[in-house]
Amino acid sequence: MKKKIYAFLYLSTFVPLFCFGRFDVTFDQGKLKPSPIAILPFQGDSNTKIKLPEVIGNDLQHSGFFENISEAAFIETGITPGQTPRFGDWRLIKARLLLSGTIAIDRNDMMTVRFQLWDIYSEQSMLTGTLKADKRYARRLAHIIANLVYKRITGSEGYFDSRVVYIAEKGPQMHRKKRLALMDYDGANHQYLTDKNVFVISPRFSPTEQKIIYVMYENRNKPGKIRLLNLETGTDDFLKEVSGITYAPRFSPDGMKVVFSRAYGGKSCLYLLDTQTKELERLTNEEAIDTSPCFDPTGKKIVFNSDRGGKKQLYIMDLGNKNIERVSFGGGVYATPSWAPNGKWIAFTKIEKGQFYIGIMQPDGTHERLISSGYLVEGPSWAPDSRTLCFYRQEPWDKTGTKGGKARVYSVDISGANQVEMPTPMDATDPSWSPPLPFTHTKE
Amino acid sequence: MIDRHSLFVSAGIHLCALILILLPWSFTKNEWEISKPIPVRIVSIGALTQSPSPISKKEFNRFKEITTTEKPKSTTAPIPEKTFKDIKKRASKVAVKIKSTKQEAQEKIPVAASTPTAPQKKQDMPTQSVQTQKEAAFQSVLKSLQHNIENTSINKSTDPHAFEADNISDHLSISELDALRQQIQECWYVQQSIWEDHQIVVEAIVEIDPERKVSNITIKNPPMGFNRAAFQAAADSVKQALRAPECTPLALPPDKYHQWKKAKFIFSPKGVW
Repeated sequence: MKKKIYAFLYLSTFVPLFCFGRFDVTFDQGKLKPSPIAILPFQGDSNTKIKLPEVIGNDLQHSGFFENISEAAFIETGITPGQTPRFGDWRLIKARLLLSGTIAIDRNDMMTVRFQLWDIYSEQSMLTGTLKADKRYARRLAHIIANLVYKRITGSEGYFDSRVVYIAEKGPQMHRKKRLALMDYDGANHQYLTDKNVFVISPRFSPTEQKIIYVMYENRNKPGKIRLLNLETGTDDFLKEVSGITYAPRFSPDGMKVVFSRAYGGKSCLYLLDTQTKELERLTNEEAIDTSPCFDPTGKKIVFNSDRGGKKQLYIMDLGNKNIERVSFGGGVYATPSWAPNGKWIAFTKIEKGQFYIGIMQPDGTHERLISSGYLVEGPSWAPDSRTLCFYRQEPWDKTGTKGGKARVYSVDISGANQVEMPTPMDATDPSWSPPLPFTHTKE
Repeated sequence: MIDRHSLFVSAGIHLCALILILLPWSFTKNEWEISKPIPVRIVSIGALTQSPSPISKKEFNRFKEITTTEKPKSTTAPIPEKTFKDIKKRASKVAVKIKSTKQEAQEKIPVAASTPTAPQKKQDMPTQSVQTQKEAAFQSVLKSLQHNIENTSINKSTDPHAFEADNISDHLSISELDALRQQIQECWYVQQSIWEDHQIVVEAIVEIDPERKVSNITIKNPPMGFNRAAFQAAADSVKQALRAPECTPLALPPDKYHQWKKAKFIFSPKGVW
């Protein structure tokens, strides 16, 4: 009996217990890799000049978050929205996402596009939709679908249905011809907005409307004119003629005001222009060079660069109480600040030890990081998603100033990854990214 | 001669230890799976039982459509025969014990003389209890199948106790946990815009079948007011990682099925940027 008691006590202490079967594991690292997506040819695509799947694929790949799988690798084809794919076939080619669609054009040239996005691994439909528009806007429909897919996968608004205005340049260094040019962000639908006989600089898109503000010099002897170009109505109005040298005009978020720099009497000050009343208000009056102003998304603050402290640094002015606060304290000089549409970042150009950089920082000056560098990189402008930037990069000129100087516009993610050239027919500088193009659509 | 006093002291200490260990067990919702691991396979319900199917015909047909597609052959290593026999032996011992205990309990129940069916009941007790066990086991199979059909959307919280998982990760060794972590992190594609901007943490309760394939994923809902689109995107990336072919089967020790069949995975890529 005693032996049995001992045995029981011994075993009860040392016999391992089963059955709990639950444990927790934390994963704190993943892969910063693009998601492989297969985009099937849309049924009915042969009737359109523009291949929607191609435009969608290019958009998604441009973002850096997606990787297109070549059509040659597809095992299954001919799927339309509403049909369930053979998930095993797509897993074999390591597709995580699948996009299918159909296109129909009626006798009134109205195009109807239906699409469906599948999660191959979870074997679930993620997104379906129907878009209708005149077939002239086929490319825009493709961009809109890309935006919807982008948002579904990343949680952020896409930027594909947008445009970029820039200065198209041609000629030797000392006799440069500059024209205003406009294109879709991917280089399509390129057009010139001004004549080559006038000299233009500093184009900037309104953050909320399809309007461009820029400075035009008819000749060197006349002062620059701030002009407002409305892309939706086609009007190109003269806003204000200001003596001295005016440059870097920027819209307020509501489009009612414009802030710009004016160099006069040996200094450069900031001015605020009401576009309705044409009234001019001076914002700064220091013995300094204050320039490159930019509104924040609320319209209550302005970031600009100034050498009032000795070197060009970034400052923020509160338009309410006119308080000015310095926000950059790094080495080198800071210029051309641009406030992100979501208000979380300020992009800038930095020059240090002969090298140019594109950088970003938070509005309080913290978390500064440099995301691109080169002989000359300058003029960052934000895409609507507040994650992507465009800027221009220029190569050095030779000693004669007749060769070299190639300038191109690039886009880059705020992480510094995914730097991609935006195709332009000639040298391009000083880009500005538009807000999303307006549209209405029908969803299922 | 054994000192009686020390014997009682020793017995008391052992008993306290036993109570301390067993007491939290009695309050958990876990049930010790005494039947052998059930392979997930489509069967005709009517052929095996006359009880009404808990799954509607529409769901059953849909599930049949999903699961009858050709799946890649399993490359899972089978449970070692010796280990499997051990588990079976232990399980059968306990099953017999429970069965006999039930039988004894039923025999002690006073049977009223006025009920002519009482003697029948007495005789049918053993077969009924076995049938009840079988039916209960089968019902649990159907429940698990039904669970697979249902959408694992973050809006649905099917089981109010789904996230009451014990935070115990010490039943697997560190190397085993690291192997699993490395495997899944290779399959988990992180989008910086989602995770960095929104400081998202995704908690998932993952049910794993004996072949070490993920059979069900339940994502815990985010706090109120959280960016829903961003969280949905984050949750999707987690689900893709867990179902990726490169991560199937999971790098888990086959002989410890009872320890990892239901796990809580927490995804929070703080170390990436």
